[in-house]
Amino acid sequence: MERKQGLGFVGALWRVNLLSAMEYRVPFIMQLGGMVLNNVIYFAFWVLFFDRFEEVQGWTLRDMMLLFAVVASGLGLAMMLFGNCRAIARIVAAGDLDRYLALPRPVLLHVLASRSSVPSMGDFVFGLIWFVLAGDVTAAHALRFLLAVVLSACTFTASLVLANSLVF
Amino acid sequence: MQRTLSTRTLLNRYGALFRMPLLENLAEVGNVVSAVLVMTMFMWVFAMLWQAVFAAQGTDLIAGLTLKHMLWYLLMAELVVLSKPLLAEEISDSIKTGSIAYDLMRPLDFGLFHLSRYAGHVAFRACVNLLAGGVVVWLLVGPPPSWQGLFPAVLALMLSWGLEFCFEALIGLAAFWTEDISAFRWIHQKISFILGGLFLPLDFYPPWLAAVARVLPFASIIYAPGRLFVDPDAGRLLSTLALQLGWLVVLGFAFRLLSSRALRRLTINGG
Repeated sequence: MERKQGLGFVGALWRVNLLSAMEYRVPFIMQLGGMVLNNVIYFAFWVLFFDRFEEVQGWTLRDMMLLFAVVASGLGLAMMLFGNCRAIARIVAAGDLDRYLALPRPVLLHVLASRSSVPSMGDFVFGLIWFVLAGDVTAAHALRFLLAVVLSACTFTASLVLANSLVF
Repeated sequence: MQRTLSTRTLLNRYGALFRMPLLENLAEVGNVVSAVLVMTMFMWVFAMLWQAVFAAQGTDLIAGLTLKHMLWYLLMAELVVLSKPLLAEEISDSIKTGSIAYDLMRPLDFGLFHLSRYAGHVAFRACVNLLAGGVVVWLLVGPPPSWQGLFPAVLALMLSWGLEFCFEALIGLAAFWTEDISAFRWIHQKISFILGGLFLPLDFYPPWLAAVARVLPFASIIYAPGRLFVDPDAGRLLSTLALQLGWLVVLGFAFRLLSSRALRRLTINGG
C-alpha cells in the first residue's frame, strides 16, 4: 500500500513537471530541439574520426552510434525523471532542503523527482533516433537497448547522488 | 594632464576588475582541484585514444603529426576551451534577474567591464590548466616538440580568447530577445568543437571541409594556437594573426552593434 502511494506521488510529480515545462511552448521546443541538434553536431566528430580510421581496436562508427544512443538516452532518462540529482549540493547549500524535510514524504525521492530537465528530454529522443539509425532494430536488440538505457540511467542517478552528497 | 589622469583612472578601474576574478578563483580551492582533475582526465583519455589509433595504423606519423605533436596540440586546444568562464550565462542571468541595471549604473563601459572580468578568469584558469595538463602530457610523451612555438602560441591564444569573448557576449545578449539562450550556447559550443578541431586537428578532415573550416573564426579560436605551438612557422604565424584580427574586428563590431541596440531596448522597457 505504502509502495503504491509512493509510486502515485512520484507519478504526480512527473506529471506536474511535464505540464509546467510544456507551459512555455517555445522555450520547451527550443531546448528539446536544441539538445537533439547539439548531440547531432557533437557526433560529427566521430563521423570524421571513423571516416579517417574506419576501425580502431574493433570499434566502428556503428558501435560508437550505439554507445552514444545508450548514454544519451540513459542520461536523458535520469534527468527527465530525477532532474534534481545534479542539484542536490546546491539545494543543500542554499538551505532549500528544509522544505522537503518538513513534508511526510521520502525526502530523497521527493528532492530527486521535483524537477525534470527539459533539455534532457532532447538527449532521450536523440538516443532513440540514434539507436534506430544504427540499424538492426529487432525485438531482442531493442530489449537489450532498453535494459542498457535503464541501467545507464540508474548508474547516472546513483553516482550523481553520491557525488552531490559530499556537500554534507 | 586631465586626459592622462582620466586614462590612468580608467586603467586602475579595469585593472581592479581584472584582479577581482583572480582573487575569487584563488579563494575557491575546490574549483582549482576540480580543474586539475578534469584536465588530467581529459589528457589521459586523449593519450589512450591516440595511442590506440597510432598503434592500429602501425605508423608514427599521421597527417604530418606524431603522437607527441598530437597530445601537445590537444593540450593547447583544451586550454582554450576549459579556461574560459561562462560569460554568456552570466550576461543572460543578469538580464533575466534584472541585475544588469546595476552593471549599467557603474561609470564603466559595458563591454570593457565584462572583458576585464573575463580576462581575469581566463588568466587564472589558463595557468592552472596549463600546469596540470602540461605535467600529464610531459609525463606521457615528453617535452613539447619545439619551444619556439611558445611565443606565437601565446599571442594566438590571447586573440582566440578575445574572439571567444565576442561570441559569448553575443550569445548572452540574445537573452534580451529570447527567453532562454541555452540552445544557442550548446550549438555554438559544438560547432566550435567540430569546426575548431578540438578533438581532431583540421589536418585530419576531408580537404574540402578543412579548407572551409580554416577560414572560419572557430579554427582561429581553437586550431590556430595549438598548431602554431607544435609547428611554429613565420608564414603560419602571420596568416593566423591576420585572420584572427580580421575576425576580431568583425565580431567586435557585431558585439558593439548588438549591445547598443539591446541597451536601448532596456531603456525603452524601463521607461
